[in-house]
Amino acid sequence: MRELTVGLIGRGDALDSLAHAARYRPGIRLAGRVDPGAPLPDADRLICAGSSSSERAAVVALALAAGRRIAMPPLLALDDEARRALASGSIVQVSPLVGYAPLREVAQRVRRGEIGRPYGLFALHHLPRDAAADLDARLADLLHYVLEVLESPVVRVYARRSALFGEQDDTWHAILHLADETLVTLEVAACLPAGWPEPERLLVEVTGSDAVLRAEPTRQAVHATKRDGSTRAVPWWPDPSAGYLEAALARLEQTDPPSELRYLEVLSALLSAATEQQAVRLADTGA
Amino acid sequence: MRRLRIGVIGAGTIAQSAHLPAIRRLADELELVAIADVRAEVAADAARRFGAEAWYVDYRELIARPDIDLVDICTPEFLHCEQAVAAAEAGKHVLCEKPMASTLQEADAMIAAARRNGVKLMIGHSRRFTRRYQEVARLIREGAVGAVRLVRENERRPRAMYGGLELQVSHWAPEGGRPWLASAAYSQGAALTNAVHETDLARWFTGSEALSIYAAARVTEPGGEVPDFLTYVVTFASGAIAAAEIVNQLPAGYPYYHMLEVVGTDGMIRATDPPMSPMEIWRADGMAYPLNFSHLLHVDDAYLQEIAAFARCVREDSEPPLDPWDARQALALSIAAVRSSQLGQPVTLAAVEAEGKGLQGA
Repeated sequence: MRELTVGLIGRGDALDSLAHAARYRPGIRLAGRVDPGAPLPDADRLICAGSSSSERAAVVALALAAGRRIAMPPLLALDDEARRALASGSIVQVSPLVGYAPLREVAQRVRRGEIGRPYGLFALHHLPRDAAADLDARLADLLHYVLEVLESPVVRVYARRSALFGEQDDTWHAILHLADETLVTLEVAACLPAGWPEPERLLVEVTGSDAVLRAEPTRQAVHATKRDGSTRAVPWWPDPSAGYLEAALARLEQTDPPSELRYLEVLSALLSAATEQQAVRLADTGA
Repeated sequence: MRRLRIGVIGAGTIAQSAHLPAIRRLADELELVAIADVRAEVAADAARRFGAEAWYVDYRELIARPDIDLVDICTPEFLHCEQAVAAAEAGKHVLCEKPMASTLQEADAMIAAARRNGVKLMIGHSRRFTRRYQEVARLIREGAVGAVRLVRENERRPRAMYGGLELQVSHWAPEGGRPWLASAAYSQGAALTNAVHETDLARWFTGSEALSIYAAARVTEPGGEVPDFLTYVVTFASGAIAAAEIVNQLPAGYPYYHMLEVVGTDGMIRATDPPMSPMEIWRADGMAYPLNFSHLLHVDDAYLQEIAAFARCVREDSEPPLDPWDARQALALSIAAVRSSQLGQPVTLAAVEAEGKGLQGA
């Protein structure tokens, strides 16, 4: 059987990790890896590892221009091009967070109804302070993941974007009201100070009538304390790139992928809410 | 040293699980004289078990006794104002359970009555007296993390939280059915019942006054009347943000759990309960955490420290360690959370104050 060829788009550590995952994934062959903006590799499947807003934006234009379908992290742009790319299926969104097995497990169990009636979902992603430039991308990843976990329409959102630790915005707080009354609380903050032992912190808790699911995939680390008392955590959680690759390949296989417009409507409402400092209703959009 | 003579008003859950046991342990300093509760059998039983010489159904008989120096009010918040003002007018020093009252007007009346009668008034925000939170406050005060910019405190309580405490008494049900805590006629739900702890801690740790809050609340208990699930984001005058998610309805068997993170300009403090209890039982029908509540860091010796601190300030004629104004401001923020969740929009503290003034003028 012919191997499936995969072309990767991106740069830096994210692309290196994804390329590593592709190299050791049976059944596929890495056909090429390019920077966002460069001509697309000749491959059966195209996957973008772009972690920054600009990388993601560049890939949308590429997908539309080439008439190709590309799996990539959630979009941050709300313009017509982005809507066209999602509506046409040129862009297939995959949150990098589904690369974490515990988060995939939470999503599957919630969708199977194991928690009974959902009450709330709390999700937190804390990043180093120098990651503030990627704040919006991390919010988009978390939002996309949450909307895959909970299927009820979002009817109202409140959001606050703050610069707590420097000149640049570094913190998102968001509260989503779902039609089934589930309350979603999101906190994304580039708040971990220099010297904090963990490279990042990710926590998802889903509370329901029958169960509580709690996943903290970045808790798996070797903690080393030096003579001066400083502690460093060396992560040994599995590289999420392999899970992301699997999810992207599976999503690209779908002939009728679910509409991503719901995500776009909610993201748009969050941005409006943050700008207006008011809660925004989405009831009419069916998001 | 003469022991101060204390009367306890309200002999329900919090009195019997926390206040009365603490008073018993403070026997060198405090003499429990009398207990009042509208339920005669509850008052009589508590008096017998905790060694009070008298019990009453009407709290006014308790405060009429000239031999009582201070009262400890452990009733629901909708009764606090009437009872605290009456006790102050009778010249008793007043320790009162949180939340301070149901409204800001009531809270202000309590402060005014204490001032007018020259008695001490302290609201029992128990978490101010736990080692964990005191240590966090000390670190902040000493500048360990710089200026506080973000406070996150989540709280999860199992549905059957009190089941593990072997309580001698159930929550009071004024009309014989639904307990007051779960009745919309008497309670405003999680924003006041629990979140007044979080609003108080947020003010304490940020050292700032709140400007506005957005809160979302819901009732999860089937047939329930008051919100038992709350999530909110507060903006402070200093620019700091505080956020909390409060869940009172974890399925039975899940451990009580707190998550506190304080992030400052120069560092970060995490003081979170371990996700599991110091003791776990694994059975075919699930897990149990029998020591969870009694070993939580927030419970600690809080009530003993709280009551001892109040007795000390009465004896030494010094200021209470917690100014009633702080409790009043925590209440204001909790009331703002209720309003915001009802309106579906952010609410400023100024609007809540103005609403209170409007009520006063009405």
